[in-house]
Amino acid sequence: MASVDNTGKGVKGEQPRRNAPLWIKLLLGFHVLVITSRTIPNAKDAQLNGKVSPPVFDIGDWIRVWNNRYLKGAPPLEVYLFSTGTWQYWDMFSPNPAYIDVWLDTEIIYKDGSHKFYLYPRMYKLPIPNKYAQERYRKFYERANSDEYKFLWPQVGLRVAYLNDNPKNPPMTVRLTRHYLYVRDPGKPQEQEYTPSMFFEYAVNQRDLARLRALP
Amino acid sequence: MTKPSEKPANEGDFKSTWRAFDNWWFGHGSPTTLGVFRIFTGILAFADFWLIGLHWESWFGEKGYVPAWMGQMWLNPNLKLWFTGDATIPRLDLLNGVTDPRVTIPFFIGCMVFAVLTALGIATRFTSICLAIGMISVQHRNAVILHGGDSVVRLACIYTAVAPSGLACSLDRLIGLWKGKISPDPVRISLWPQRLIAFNVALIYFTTIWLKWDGARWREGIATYFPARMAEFYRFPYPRFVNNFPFVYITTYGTLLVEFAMGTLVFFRPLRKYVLPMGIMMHAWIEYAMNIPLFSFLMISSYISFYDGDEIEGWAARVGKRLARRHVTVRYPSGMRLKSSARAFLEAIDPFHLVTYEASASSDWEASSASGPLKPSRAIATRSVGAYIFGWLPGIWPRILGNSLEPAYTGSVFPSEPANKQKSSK
Repeated sequence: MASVDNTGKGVKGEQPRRNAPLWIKLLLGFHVLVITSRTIPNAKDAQLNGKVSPPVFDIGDWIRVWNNRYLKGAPPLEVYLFSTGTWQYWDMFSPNPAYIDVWLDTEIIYKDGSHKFYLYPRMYKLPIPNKYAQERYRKFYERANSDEYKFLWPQVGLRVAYLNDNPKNPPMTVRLTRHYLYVRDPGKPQEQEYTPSMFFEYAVNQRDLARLRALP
Repeated sequence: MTKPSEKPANEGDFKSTWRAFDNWWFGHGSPTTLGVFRIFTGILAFADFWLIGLHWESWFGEKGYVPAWMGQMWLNPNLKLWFTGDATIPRLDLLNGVTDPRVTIPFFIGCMVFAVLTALGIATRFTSICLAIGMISVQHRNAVILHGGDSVVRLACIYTAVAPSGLACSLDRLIGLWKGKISPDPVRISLWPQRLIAFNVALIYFTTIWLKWDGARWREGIATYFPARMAEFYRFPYPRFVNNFPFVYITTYGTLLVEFAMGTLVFFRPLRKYVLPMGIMMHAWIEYAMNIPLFSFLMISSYISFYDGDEIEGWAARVGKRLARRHVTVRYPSGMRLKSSARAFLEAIDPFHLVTYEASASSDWEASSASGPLKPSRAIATRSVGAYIFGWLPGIWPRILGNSLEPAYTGSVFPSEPANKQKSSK
């Protein structure tokens, strides 16, 4: 063998007895086990709670239940994944693609009673070249719209208040409104208009707003 | 009774299977694939940072949507470190608790610089580790805005950092060859980092389709009907029939088929040439029709991990042969020869083997192609892909060509007759 080495310096020598050191093999095996366990889809709730047993011959469901119960959430595995940044879970357009088109708008009410609407860079309204760079707004507002992440709402209100600030006539209230449209199954009449629904009213914390004004 | 030397047939099968498995994961091969993967990763990581950085204050500023405290809250800071006790999992996040933009902005710019250096392959081990730490930190600082593509680029950075990815297609290697510090012999490495990348890519598809199989809309063949009607995802225009029946059935079941193949069949070489183009077509369509930044580029660039380095080198050589009109012969001055280090360097920057070097009858450098004589430096610079990253620097070619030569050995092979040490005509 002309040269076999991992240094790039081309030291000539014989083929090593092992393909790789044992510790690399063990570490790699552990890593593969952990990322596989992490990415195996979660078991259905009823199966996980023991209310329903997976079908006898559905090996996939049995694996998912077993994985969820004994492996996936085990602290040593989570420590490895989250501390090293190798965490992952792949659920693009699955189990079903999203079927609710949502965008948000905000209404700002000022101290003198006047009000104004503010729209973040909404993808549909943006020219094609700008969409790529500003897609994060869609992702953020998709999550901020969800009840699951209510804790984001006051910060959205504060940010919008700051972006539309006027120290002489400060914003007092920010209302978040979601506009949603269900994409109905094929063959059914499709909705044409988005339905608005105000879901959060933020009373602007003037101390927080003043703190933002003071930041560099 | 069985003799000690006679092993049961199934034991031999197990051993040979295990050996084949071990060889696939850990066997030795060319690092070229990892070098190419490193270039893709560096470029796409830079693009990712750049796209997020355009709206830096919104995503990383204390006046933005996700100040530092909220970034931590999103990560679920209460995940237990162990089965008992109150300790929580530490995350690799150099920006944890940092609220001063005089720190975070230079950190962000530093990450972009490391991405460029990683792509170029300069001090690759150090810069790729810095890039990986930077990428993890930035994503841990604000995970609210992440999508699947971000996970792909983060993992690509981590795998690039742990792999010997600077051994090929890097300035590190070119500089080492030029200085004679690296042997021009082919380098062989244990391929486990490349196999790990390939495994992880297949895992993405396999687990995604597993989850999709739970979805009624995928099973019914109507899943692609829905995202196409989400105004927030629109990108470039396309004909209406693409999102109507029966085309929806084709795209839905086609997606399932491609993802299943990418998760399983892609490892079988005879099928690979069909599976990967199908994956590329699927992602090309997603990239065209839907606004999901960089995701398709990242997935397609990861496909390189399914090819061995020797295959890529062979492909480059075959492409080079087809480009016969671009072939050029560069002749160095008579009485001189190329230093072995310089020859290795010049060959390394020319993966398509478009330039042939040989001795000239004249006293100066010459170059000629099928279409006539050329300027030697221009002939090399335009045909050697590896030179594109430095070949435009003013004054670089006279230095390279001037330092490439040494006097040719013209003495007798017999020990009694001393060698005629001819002086350089330089």
